Amino acid sequence: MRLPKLSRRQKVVRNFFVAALCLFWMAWHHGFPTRSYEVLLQRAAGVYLIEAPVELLYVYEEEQFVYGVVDERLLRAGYEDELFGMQLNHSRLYPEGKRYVVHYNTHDYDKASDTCTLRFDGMLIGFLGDAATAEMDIQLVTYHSITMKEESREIKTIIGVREGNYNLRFPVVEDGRDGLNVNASLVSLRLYDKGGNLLEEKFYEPQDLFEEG
Amino acid sequence: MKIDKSLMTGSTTLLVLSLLAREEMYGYQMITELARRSDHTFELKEGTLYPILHTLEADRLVTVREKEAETGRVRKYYRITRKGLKALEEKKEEWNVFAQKVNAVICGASLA
Amino acid sequence: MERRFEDWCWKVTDQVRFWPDRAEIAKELTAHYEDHVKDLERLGYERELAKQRALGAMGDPVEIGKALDKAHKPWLGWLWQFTRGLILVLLAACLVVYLHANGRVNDAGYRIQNQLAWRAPSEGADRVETEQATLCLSPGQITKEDGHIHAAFQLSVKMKDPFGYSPNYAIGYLEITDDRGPIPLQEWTAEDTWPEVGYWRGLQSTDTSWTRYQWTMELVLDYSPEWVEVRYPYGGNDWTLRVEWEEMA
Repeated sequence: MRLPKLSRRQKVVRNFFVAALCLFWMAWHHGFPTRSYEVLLQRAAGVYLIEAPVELLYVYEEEQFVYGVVDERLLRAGYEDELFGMQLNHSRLYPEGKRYVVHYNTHDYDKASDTCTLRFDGMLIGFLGDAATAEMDIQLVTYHSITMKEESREIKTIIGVREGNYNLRFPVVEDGRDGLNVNASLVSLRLYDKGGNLLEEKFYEPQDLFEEG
Repeated sequence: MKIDKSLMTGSTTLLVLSLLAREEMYGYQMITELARRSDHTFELKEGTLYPILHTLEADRLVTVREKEAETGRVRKYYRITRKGLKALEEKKEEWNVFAQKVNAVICGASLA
Repeated sequence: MERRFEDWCWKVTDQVRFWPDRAEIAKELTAHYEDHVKDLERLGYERELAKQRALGAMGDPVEIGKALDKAHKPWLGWLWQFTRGLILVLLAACLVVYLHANGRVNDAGYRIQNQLAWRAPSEGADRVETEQATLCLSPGQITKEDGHIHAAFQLSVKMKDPFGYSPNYAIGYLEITDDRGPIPLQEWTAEDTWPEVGYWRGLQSTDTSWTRYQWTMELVLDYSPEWVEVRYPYGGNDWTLRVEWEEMA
């Protein structure tokens, strides 16, 4: 073997370099986390093979979503918080023409006491025009826990107020009733302008996905 | 002629590097070569060679590799590096200057 | 004065604090000593005397040991051992990560690569656009095997929404007809030739989805069909595609 031996000091340096290389490779393989919402959106667009620039609209921190626009379409990036930043774990490009996305929650599950109660909140995110307030009608159907027969039915209306340029918030409404046997679904959504005039009204079929708008 | 040991201690590194300047050698070979070249004037305590060699290796003035001899014994051969050759030149220069100055003092004493 | 070389050697290495290096040092010193003994024996010395003389020539063990200890700094030695362990662990970790990543997508590059590996259907293919996908039917090989005719054709599906539903289920609902009439499910086979690619990270691929599918379908008949129609007659997305084979010489 014609290779000369490296001195111990040189070996230590080489080993640290190799170790750093391993760590770098693992980080690259996992995907470098980022602290920038724009980068997250760009990666989300990349999943659809879109290289066009993105614009950040709103960060929905409670649900860990970042909303933006690319090629005049709404784009949503889901993320996980990691040690050195955020990691993309979801990407959705909405079809052309979709102006805003509806989020609503109806149940609150308390892990500690293992109870499920009714608790309402929501968010509209996207291009909301002149909308200043909004109303969501949520249908609640209570079933008998054993016979699965419908026991009662009601409409709960929650009111939201425009918060920012691109979001309208429905503040939390605690209901407290047991939610275990209650099925909730969005029935209709109404947007009003500052003067209280109805801007638009939308109706939903019960089987629509809960966050479709 | 046996030389006073105290004169030797500083220059052993210089001697070792000179030995390795032309070819790679293993420890015992260096001892015998040193004795031969100096006409048996320099016969340092053999074990003291190894701390010097190991220090030279740590400082990257020499590198070491193992070679198997026909007898089956594995020997560590030391070879000088480029850094070592530079250090050798510096030490030679240092030695020459030193010797010159010593001579100057000695001769100067008789030159009045 | 030590009587035996082994004792002398032990006294030397005892001074070296970084004990992992002691064995190497002892080996080198022993080799030196034995070389000397051999040389003396060759000169005519008898063994015992040669050994004594060679031992005496080695020098003061403690002094030599202390000097060696200076050349084998413990902190550097332990640091070196630590880095060796470190890269061993990290290389193993890299291997685990690499093996575990099977099927996972970690960056758009990988996905693009798979997209580009899509085998574009030939020019003679029949295409149809639905709300969810672009579909294509293209002719494949007609071969004669074990007395039967094997007529292959390809159904390629490119989903518009990569995160929509997988059309895998639709395969079972296809209706295939050829120039002689409808062909029942049992007489054709479909082989999924597109490797599955997931888009989600994480250890559970709960939301994996595919963009493109290519099924190589094969009819095993006793005759060579002129054309084949594939039809999916359900739910607003019904379509029909037709494929014809060029005359086989």
